[in-house]
Amino acid sequence: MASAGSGDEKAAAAAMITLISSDNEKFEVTEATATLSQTIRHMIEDGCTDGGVPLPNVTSKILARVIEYCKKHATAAAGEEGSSSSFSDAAFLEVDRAFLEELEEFDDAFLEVDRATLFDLILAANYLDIKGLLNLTCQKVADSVKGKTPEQIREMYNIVNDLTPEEEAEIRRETQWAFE
Amino acid sequence: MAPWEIAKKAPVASGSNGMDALPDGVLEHILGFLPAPEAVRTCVLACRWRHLWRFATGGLHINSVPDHTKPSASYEKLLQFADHLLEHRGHAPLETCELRFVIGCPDAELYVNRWIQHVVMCKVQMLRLSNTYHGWFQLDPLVSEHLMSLELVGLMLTSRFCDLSNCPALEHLEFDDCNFSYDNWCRTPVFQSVPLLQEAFVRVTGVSPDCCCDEPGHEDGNVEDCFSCYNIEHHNKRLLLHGLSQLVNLSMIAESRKVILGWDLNHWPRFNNLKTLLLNDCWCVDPKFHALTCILKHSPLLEKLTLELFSKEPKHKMEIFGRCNPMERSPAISQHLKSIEVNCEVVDKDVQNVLRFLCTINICK
Repeated sequence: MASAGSGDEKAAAAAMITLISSDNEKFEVTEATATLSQTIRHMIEDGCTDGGVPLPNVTSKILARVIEYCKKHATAAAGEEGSSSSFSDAAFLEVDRAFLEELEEFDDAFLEVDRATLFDLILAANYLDIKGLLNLTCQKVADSVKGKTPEQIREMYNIVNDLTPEEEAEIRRETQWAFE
Repeated sequence: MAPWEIAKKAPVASGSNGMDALPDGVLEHILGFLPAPEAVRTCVLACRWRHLWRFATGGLHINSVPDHTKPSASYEKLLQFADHLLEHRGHAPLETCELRFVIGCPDAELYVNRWIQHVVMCKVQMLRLSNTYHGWFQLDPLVSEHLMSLELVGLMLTSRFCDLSNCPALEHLEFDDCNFSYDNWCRTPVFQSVPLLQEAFVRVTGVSPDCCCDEPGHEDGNVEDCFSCYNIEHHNKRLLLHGLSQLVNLSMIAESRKVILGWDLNHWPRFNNLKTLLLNDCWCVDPKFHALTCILKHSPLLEKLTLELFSKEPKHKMEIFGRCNPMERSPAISQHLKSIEVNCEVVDKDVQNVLRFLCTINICK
């Protein structure tokens, strides 16, 4: 279950990675935070992070938010690994549950963003391959369309219906079983 | 290359263009969070959306339980919907799948088994089967190299289905509100060997139609025929527990004390790898706390014990943390036990009894 990078926590904490946003802003983060991104993890494994990791698809505004998420969740991941391998101290467990609740609150607050930012976060999470962040943000979009008709969804997200009435009728016929 | 892989490599555009800026792979991922009918209905949004739902590889949520507030969705229609959906979806890979059903007609068994077989062919990794009304029916045995997590809710399980030795990748197993039944079709012991299985959650119900006949109110009083007791340990087979004895994490919730009384604790298996254990109040019964003592004795590597006493809330009002006294450790308790957590609503007489018992084995606050 132990993955690369989590093996030696102290060494991971000491190693710093520089991330460079599309507008050339530099962010220094610990390796533990950066490796929540599978994309960056692979770069580190391939040894191509010297001189910083350019992320031409992510603006500084979004990258700052993504790093905020990763920092919080990297701490959580470290805690989980600690608790499953050995219980060093019972007091540690006392904070465990409280921390999980705090993490949930953090996620809720994190999603309080406008729609454009939410989509930018999704794109960044997808590009950087951060599974937790991608699930969190995609779930938010899914929740927003739940219970809505196709017409309402189109209106909500400015989706242009490029189907001709004939095509739409044909698709509805094909999938009639889902519209009954 | 699979479509979701292509999407991942697509250049990242700005989210200000709205949903249209999201690559197909992401839209498919979003659809995986929707109930199946809603995911399918996105096919008429626009040309691009026509086939996206077929590749919602993240999740599939099928509910064939009729909702009485929507009389248009009859039981038969719901069953047929799931059939259509799977047929049109084909065998695109699937990470998680949730099937909710109710055994409401003789054909239900056929339908459900067909769906399960289909999603197994989609290499499903996490499968949740939830039956909302107890009914007798036979689930076909699972055979999957990919299944890692299996959750079963409200099912009557036969040893034929419970033989999970053909799911070698299984790591996580949950039985919630299930009954275990011995049958004549197959005499394979339950859970032969699932080498990777590390954690399990078991809730043994005592309130289902087949609850323990030894409960007050049951006139038969024939424990031999009682599903709850009979199956967990039957003619020295000890179907359930012996199969679970390699686990690292185990949670066991019993909803009736009688269920536990029906078990032969003298044959309790040794849980040689068990590190964390959660039990509820039915396991902590005076006099002498026989069940709890027995379990502790048979868990030599236990590190963390959690007791949920008379509290069903996920957030307990009271949390009491204890630790073993290292100087006067009882020889019956694991040398590794470092953390004990007691969760309850209020510290009443019953909880005090348990705490007092813990003190006698040198576990204190």
